[in-house]
Amino acid sequence: MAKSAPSIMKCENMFCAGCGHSLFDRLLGEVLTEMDIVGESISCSDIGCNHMYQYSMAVDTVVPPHGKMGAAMAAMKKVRPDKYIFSIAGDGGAYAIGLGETLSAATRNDNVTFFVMNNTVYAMTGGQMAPTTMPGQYSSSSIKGRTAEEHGRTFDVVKLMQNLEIAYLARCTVTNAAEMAKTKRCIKKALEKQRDGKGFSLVEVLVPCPTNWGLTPPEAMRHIENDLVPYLPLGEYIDR
Amino acid sequence: METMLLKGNEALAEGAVRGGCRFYAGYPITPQSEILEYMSWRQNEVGGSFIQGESEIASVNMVFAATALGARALTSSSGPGFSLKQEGIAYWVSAGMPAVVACVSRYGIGDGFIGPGQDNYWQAVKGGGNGDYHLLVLAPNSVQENMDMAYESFELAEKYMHPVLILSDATIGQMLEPCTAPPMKEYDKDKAPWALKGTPIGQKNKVITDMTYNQDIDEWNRDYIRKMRLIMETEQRWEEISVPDADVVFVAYGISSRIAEGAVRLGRERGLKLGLIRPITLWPFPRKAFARLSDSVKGLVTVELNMMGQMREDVILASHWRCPAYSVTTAQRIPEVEQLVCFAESVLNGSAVEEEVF
Ligand SMILES: Cc1ncc(C[n+]2csc(CCOP(=O)(O)OP(=O)(O)O)c2C)c(N)n1
Ligand code: SF4
Repeated sequence: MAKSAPSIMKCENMFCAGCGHSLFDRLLGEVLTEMDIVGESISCSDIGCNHMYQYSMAVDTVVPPHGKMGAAMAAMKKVRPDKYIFSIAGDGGAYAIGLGETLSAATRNDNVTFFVMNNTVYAMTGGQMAPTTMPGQYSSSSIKGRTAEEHGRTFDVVKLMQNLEIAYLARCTVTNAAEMAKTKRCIKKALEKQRDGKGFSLVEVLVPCPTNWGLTPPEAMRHIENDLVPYLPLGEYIDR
Repeated sequence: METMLLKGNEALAEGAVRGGCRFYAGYPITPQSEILEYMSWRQNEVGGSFIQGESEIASVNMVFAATALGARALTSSSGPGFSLKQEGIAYWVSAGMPAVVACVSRYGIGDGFIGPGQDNYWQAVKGGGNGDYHLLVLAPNSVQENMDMAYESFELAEKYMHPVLILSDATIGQMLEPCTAPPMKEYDKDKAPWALKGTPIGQKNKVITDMTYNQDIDEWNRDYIRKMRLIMETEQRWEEISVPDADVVFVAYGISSRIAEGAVRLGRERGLKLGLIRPITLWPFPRKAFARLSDSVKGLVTVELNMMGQMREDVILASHWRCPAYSVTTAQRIPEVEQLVCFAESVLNGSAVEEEVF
C-alpha cells in the first residue's frame, strides 16, 4: 500500500473499524490512479456495505438494484466500450440474488470486471447466512452453525467458474502487507485484461467483517488466515 | 415522411429508433417478441446496441445502466415478463432516469394467455413496483400511434426525467397497418446532462442511484412531488368523439376504443346520442375531459378487456359520481360493436346495473 491515500480517495469513510471493504477500496483507488484511468472508469455498485465506497472514492458510479451488476455492466460496456467498467460487489449480491446475472456475464465473456468482497455473510442487513458462509459458521440465520445437511454446501466461485472461457479469475485477501500487494497486482491485472479486450475478469477478495463476526479486527484477520484460506485457497486460477 | 406497412410491434420499434433509441435489451415473450427481433438487426444498422438479456430482470437493469451512461434506451415485454420488470422500473423512477418501457399487454393472471388483454391497467397506471409513483403512461390505439408514441417517448421522459410506459396490446402489436414514419432524430448521448462518462481526478464525480442516501430526502421529496403534480397538470391527453350532446359516453383506450368508436357511429345511425372519451395518457388520467362533461350525461361506460372494470375506478374519481359509471368487461374477448350499442340502450332505459365487481 502506498504511504498516502491517492487523491480520488476522500478522507471520510463510513465503514466500521477493521472493515475489509475499506482496505480493498484503498488498493483499487491506488491502481486506478497509478494506471491513470480514473477519468476512463465508470463503476457499478452493488447494494450492501460494499456500496459505501461511493462516499470515499471519487469515481462515476451507477447503482442498479442489489446483485444486478452483471446485467448493468453488460449494458455499460456496450454504450461506452472505451471505458473501464467494473463492479465492487458483495458476495450476497454477486453470488446469491445476482448469481444469474454474474454467471451470464461470465458465460458471455463480457469485457467487464467484478471485484467481489467475500466476507461470508450478508453484512449490511445484520450478518445473515450467505451462500459463502463457511461450514460450522454461526450467523444470525444459522445460529447453531451452518451445516451442509441443513443449509446446503458453501459456495466456491473457483469451482463454479474454473472451466469457463473467461479472461481472469483470482482469489486474494487483505490480511497483511504481502497479501495486499498481491491483491493490488490482481486488481491491476484484471483491469489490464479489460483494457486488452480479453473479456470477463473476476477477483474475489476474502475480507473481514469484524462487526458481524463478533471478533476484534486482529482476530478477524486471523480467522481469514486460519479458517477461510485453507478452505478457499488463494491464487490465480484463470489467466489468459 | 415515408409510408411503411408494418406490424404494430415493428412500428413501435421503428418509432423508437427514429426517436433516437440506440440501446435495446429484452427477453422473448409473445405477443411482443417482434420488438426484440426487429431491434436485433435494426440497432446494428443505426450504430446502436442490442442485448438479448438472460431475463426481463436483467434487461430492465441493462436499460437502467445504458440510460445512466446517456443512451436513449428501451425495453419491452408483456404479462409475467412485465411483472418481472417492476423492481427495475422503480429504480428508474427513484434515480430519475428517462428510460422507456413498452408493454404489449396479454390477458391473464400469472402466465396467462397470449391474446390481448387490458387486465394489467392497475399494474400499469398505479405504480407496479414499490413506492409512491406513477409512470407516464401512453396508450396507442393504432399501428401509427405505436410508432408516434415510441418516437416522442424519449423526449417526453427527458422533459420530466421520469420513465415512460407505452401500454400497447396484443391486437395492436400484431396487426398490419400502413403508417407514416417520421424523420430520424439526432441525439448525442454525450450531451445528455445526466450521462456518466468518467470524471477525471480533481473534478466532481457523478453517482446515479436511487434517492435515499446521497441527498436531503425532504428536499428530494419536495422536488419529486412537484414534478408529479406538474405532469398531472400538463400532460393529460385524450380524444373526444361526439361528446358534447351525448347521453351515454363510452370511456375506452387501446383496442377497445376502436370498437367503442364503431359503437358511437352505429348508435348515432340508430338515433342514440353516444359519445367516446379515449384516454391517450392513462397516467395522468385525463380528468379534465370529465370536468367538462354536460350534466345531461346519463351514464359513463368503460369498455375493458378484463373482468373487474379496472379503469372504472379512475372514471368515478374523475367524474366525482356525477352520473352512474358502468363497465362492459369482456375479459379475453374483443367486444362486439352491437354489444356496446345494446349496453348503451340499457343505460338509457334504466335497466343497466352499476356493478361493483372488485
Ligand atoms: C432486492 C433486495 N433484496 C434485499 C435487499 C436488502 N439488502 C441490502 S444489502 C443486503 C446484503 C448485502 O450483502 P452482501 O452482498 O454480501 O454485501 P455486504 O453487505 O456483505 O458488503 C441485502 C440483503 C435489497 N436492498 N434489495
Ligand atoms: S458491518 Fe462488516 S462489512 Fe459492514 S462496514 Fe462493518 S465491518 Fe464492514
